[in-house]
Amino acid sequence: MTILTIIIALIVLSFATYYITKINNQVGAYTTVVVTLAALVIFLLEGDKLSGASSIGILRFSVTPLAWFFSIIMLIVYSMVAFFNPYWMKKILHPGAYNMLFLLSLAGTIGVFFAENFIVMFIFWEIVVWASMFIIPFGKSRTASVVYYAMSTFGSFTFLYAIFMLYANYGTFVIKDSLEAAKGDANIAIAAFILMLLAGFIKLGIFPFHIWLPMAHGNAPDTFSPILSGGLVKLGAFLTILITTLLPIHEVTKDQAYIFGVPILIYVLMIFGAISIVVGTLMAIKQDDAKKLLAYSSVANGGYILIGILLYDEMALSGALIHIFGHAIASATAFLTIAAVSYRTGTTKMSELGGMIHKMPITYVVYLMAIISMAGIPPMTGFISKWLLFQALADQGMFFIATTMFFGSIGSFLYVFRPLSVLFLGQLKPEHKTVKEAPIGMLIPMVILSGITLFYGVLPNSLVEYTAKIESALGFDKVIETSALVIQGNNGDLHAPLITGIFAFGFIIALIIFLIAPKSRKVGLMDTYTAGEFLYTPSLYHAGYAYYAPFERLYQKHPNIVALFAALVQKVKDFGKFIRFVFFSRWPGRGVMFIILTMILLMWGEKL
Amino acid sequence: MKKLVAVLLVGLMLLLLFINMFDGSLEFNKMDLADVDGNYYAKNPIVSNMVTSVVVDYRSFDTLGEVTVLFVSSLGVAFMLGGLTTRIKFKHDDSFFLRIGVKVLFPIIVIVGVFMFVHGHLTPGGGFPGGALIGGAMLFKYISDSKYRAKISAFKVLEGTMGSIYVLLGIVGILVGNYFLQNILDIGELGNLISGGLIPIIYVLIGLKVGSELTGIFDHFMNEEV
Amino acid sequence: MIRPVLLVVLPLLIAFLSVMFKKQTKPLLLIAVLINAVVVFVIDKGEYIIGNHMQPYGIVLNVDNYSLYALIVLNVLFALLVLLNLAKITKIASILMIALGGLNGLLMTGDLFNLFVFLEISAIAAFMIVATNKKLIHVFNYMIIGIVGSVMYLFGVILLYSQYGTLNMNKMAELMTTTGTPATYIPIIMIFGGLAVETKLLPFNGWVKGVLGNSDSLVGPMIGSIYSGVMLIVFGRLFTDVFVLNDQVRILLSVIAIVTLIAGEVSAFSTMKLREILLYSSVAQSGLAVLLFLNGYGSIAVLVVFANVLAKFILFMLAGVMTNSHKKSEHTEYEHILNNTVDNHDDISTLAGIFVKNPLNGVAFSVASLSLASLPLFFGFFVKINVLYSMFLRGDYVLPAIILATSLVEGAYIIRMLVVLWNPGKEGEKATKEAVTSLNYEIDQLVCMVLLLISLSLVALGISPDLAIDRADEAGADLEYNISTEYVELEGGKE
Repeated sequence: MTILTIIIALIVLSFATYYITKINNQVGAYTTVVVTLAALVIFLLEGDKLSGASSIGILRFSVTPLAWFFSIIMLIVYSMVAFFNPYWMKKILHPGAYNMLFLLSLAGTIGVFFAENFIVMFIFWEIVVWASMFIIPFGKSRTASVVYYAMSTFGSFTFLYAIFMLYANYGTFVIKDSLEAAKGDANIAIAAFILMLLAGFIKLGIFPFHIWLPMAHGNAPDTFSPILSGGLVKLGAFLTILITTLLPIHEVTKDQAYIFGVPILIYVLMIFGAISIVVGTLMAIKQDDAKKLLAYSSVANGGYILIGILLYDEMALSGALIHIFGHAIASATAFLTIAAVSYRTGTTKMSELGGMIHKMPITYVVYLMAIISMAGIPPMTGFISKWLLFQALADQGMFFIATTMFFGSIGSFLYVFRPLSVLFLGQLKPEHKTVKEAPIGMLIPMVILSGITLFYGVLPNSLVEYTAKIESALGFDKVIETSALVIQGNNGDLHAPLITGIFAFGFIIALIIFLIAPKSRKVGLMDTYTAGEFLYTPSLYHAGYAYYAPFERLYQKHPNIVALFAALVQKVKDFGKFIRFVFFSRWPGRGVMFIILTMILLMWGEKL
Repeated sequence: MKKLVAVLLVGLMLLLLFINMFDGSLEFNKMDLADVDGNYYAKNPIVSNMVTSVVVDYRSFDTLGEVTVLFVSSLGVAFMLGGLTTRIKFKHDDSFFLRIGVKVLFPIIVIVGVFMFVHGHLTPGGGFPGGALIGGAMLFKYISDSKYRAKISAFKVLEGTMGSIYVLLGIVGILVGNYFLQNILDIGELGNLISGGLIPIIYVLIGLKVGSELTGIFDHFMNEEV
Repeated sequence: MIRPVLLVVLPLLIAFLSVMFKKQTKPLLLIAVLINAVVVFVIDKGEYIIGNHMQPYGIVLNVDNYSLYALIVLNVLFALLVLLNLAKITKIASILMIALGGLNGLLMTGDLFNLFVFLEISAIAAFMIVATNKKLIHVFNYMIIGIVGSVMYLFGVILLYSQYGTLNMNKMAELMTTTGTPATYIPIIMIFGGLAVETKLLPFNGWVKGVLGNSDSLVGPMIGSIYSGVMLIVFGRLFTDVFVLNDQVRILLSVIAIVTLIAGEVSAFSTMKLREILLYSSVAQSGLAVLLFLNGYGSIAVLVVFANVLAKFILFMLAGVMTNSHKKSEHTEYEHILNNTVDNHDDISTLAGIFVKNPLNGVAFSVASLSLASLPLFFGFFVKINVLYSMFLRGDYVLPAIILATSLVEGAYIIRMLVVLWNPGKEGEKATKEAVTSLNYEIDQLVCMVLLLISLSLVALGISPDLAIDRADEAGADLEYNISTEYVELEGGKE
């Protein structure tokens, strides 16, 4: 089974799915489920036996552990999300195109991960961009798609510029060779690094390029947001890992000044990651729309991942990789629960929802587990990655960045709790009395994803060992050490099953107390709630209204970077209008005048 | 104000142009006169009118192009003004003397025109001026008589036929000789009426074609909407 | 052994005959274009003398790889355009035949004055073709500017003759290289000015907005795709094969090309009217092609022209149909000028979601636009990669940055256009069937299928571009000043 055959099969199947969907929507959607599951199974079974042997011309692939790791993450997210597709077919304007682009973007991501040379990577990178870009406008916003494309392409073009710059100097497109050869010249290496890193930044959603994330993820169709947020942003992480470790950037910048044990360039870039954490967290706390909130949370998590990668420490990279895994699964799960709620109620705005726990209890539990992972609390995977990252930061002594990371962690608890308490807990609205639990086709993937999160939180060793394998493949000298159940860190060990055991013990104690204690009596809420008063504006009394108002007041007057980009775009438009007004008029006199003026200038210029 | 600026700009451009042309940088005399193409044309004329030998023999393809330009212009006029059928009413009445006078002058002008293009290879003139004279004669008829309409369909047939014959002569050149528009007839003596091979024939074709085209254009312009 | 001269002459002959057979002009036109489209595949390369006079005293027709490929594309596309617009061509059938002859002559000729003659023929035919859409003020504008351009070209040719004593392109190229650089490049600048009018470079292109902004499905592809491509190929021939420029002039002229590129993209970004977006994009692509020709990237320029011609053919034809097939207007053109209104439905937002009703057209349109935006799986991607590749190999680091920046703007407005045309709905609301526009248009099934086929060829070339790249390489090899000869292809090869 070669990568090329898998990719070609996916592309062909995506076109086939288009036609199948034209015949019957549901069958087409189920085809996507089958195809993604099949791909996942193939990858799991083949493991290392996958080969990149076959190739067409410059389309060459190479199999590395890093690529396999990312592909598995992507495939898990895609296949679980695919289960939701059949339910969304009637809500989308172009179901055939949706299914086709769904599979095409998957093919693109696999191509990116396994690319052997930069041209192939760029081709598939762009395929991912345009495949996902056309799905976004099926949702709520058209400009979101254009903004996504424009920012993503800005990154792609700096990436392309760097690729060709490296080729012009070193004569090869192959990723490993080209990056290794760049070690020779520090200036070119740093320039290429920054240009390529821009592409990674923009894809990950690091400040100041994060503005497309809430627009795109928040407004995309509900079934595609998990893929955008859990899957596609990780492409940026992949690129960042490649260029940080293969250059490697720490060797190239050896001669620069060192701050907190890292070269100053790296530290400045890490500051950007730290700022994204703060910005993402603060903006997420403000949001009313559950999907935009989760999108900002992706911004913040992108910051964690970036810091982990740039630190170039074996614990940090391991932490970053596990965080990628954990965040992909958790974020996808959270988006899926919101999608399930939206499927049943028709809205994702938290101020219009409430009390869903009574009607959708399983969805509630799934969401709860996802946010426990996102907040970094044991026994979920998120805790493992946060522990590793904090270890690495503390070891280096970078307390500023560690502070922002702590702030982000706590803040994440604030914002993930809001949908939980507002959406699921709280009062059930009268119009939602007849809402049923999410259909079984939706429950299965959500439970599977929660199961994965829980499993790797309790027994992370297989995961950590795989990251060790990736690190050695990437050329690290030291790799993270694990023995049977313990992960060894620099300042202490992490014994995950022990922690889980303690947690479970505490949970059982609480459960026993709950069962023994007298039950509370259920009272209907609406009769006593208003105490006889008439509510003129019920929305003000909603549990989610101004939920964190005191905290939000602290940063109410924050500067808005969206305005900066909007102003830039407006300037370009004005320039265009000016040119149209001056040069393109319907009266021939003006045209002839410009011709004569130009000829005068040319003749004069030539004379000189 | 606008006119002043326009005149100034055009004047400036022409000034720059002329300065550049006449300050020696264009090196008009750089070429050895013997190498200039025109020298060859001057030394090897096919007929006694040197201009004709260049226009209709050496560069016959260009002349075919020019003829086509005129043809497409007349097609354009026909396209834009083609639907109109009634003659424009002049502001003055027809003058008896003008009408009769033109009837006398008309054949003379036509004969002069025909002479010009038949003798195009011997005397200055040729197909284009000759045809223009014929067109001018037709214009006289239109001006003199407010009810006059030439038989446009006949002229169109003449125009089409002449053009087609020109092209067909060229194609015959491929079949009989080896090249398009090759001069396949005998060149004859320099200075004779029957000399120069195809050249007088082509000039006759061109003269008639131009005449009919101009007539057609005048006819279209002399019409108006009802 | 079919002479290439017949490609020029046969349509002219049939045009002359058609004046007599008024009723049969349409079948005659069809015969002419079909014969041309078939004959173009069987002519041989070489230099063909006209009139039995050796060069440089006679006129010579030059058919090499460069002209041959351009001829093939021209004749096939022209035939397609005529076949797809059968209803509209009855009135101007003769003029179309002359346009065909003129364009063929332009591509083949080896003589400067002959080029002028064919330029005039094509231009006048173009004026008439544009006049079919009844917006006469724009035709007038085009005419005036076109005539100014032709006069400048002619003057430049005259000055060149006085300097070099010949009008033959081969001999002129020889003389220019052997006698060294002339002291002044004024004649070449005048010729540049003349051609710049037709190839839409910036200060010379005041006519483009009026002509192409009001185009229908005949005028649009004709002027925006076919004429555009031919004029650029002619420009390439003159400025890389015949004239020898020095660095100063090259930089001067490249500045105009770069300004055109930037201005075109920015103007397209600022408008929301469908045809205006397409025409400004054409302006920018012309600027890019001229820039590439002037700086020695001849084969890549041929690729750019080819990709642009194919894509714009589809786009202008669909745009013409989409914006024109609605109810006839109640206002005359004069009233529109007075009140500064427009009549046809040009704004993208009024056409929002129109592809939901016409998905096949939408696919063709999307494929062509995505190729223009140079996204992978489409031909335009490899074109752009090769442009950048050649520039970097020569050590040029500034031009790629400019080209990438303008590409970004281009991609943004193309995606904005596509996204709105496929998905209706206000901002913040889901795209639903109810929000789809109520406008609709009729399009012939045949047109639909042909456009889909052409767009499929763009996809096929996108997946396997080697066919096109090899041909462009051969074509570029015929040009003198063509420095870069390595490409990124799919099959390793010259990579």
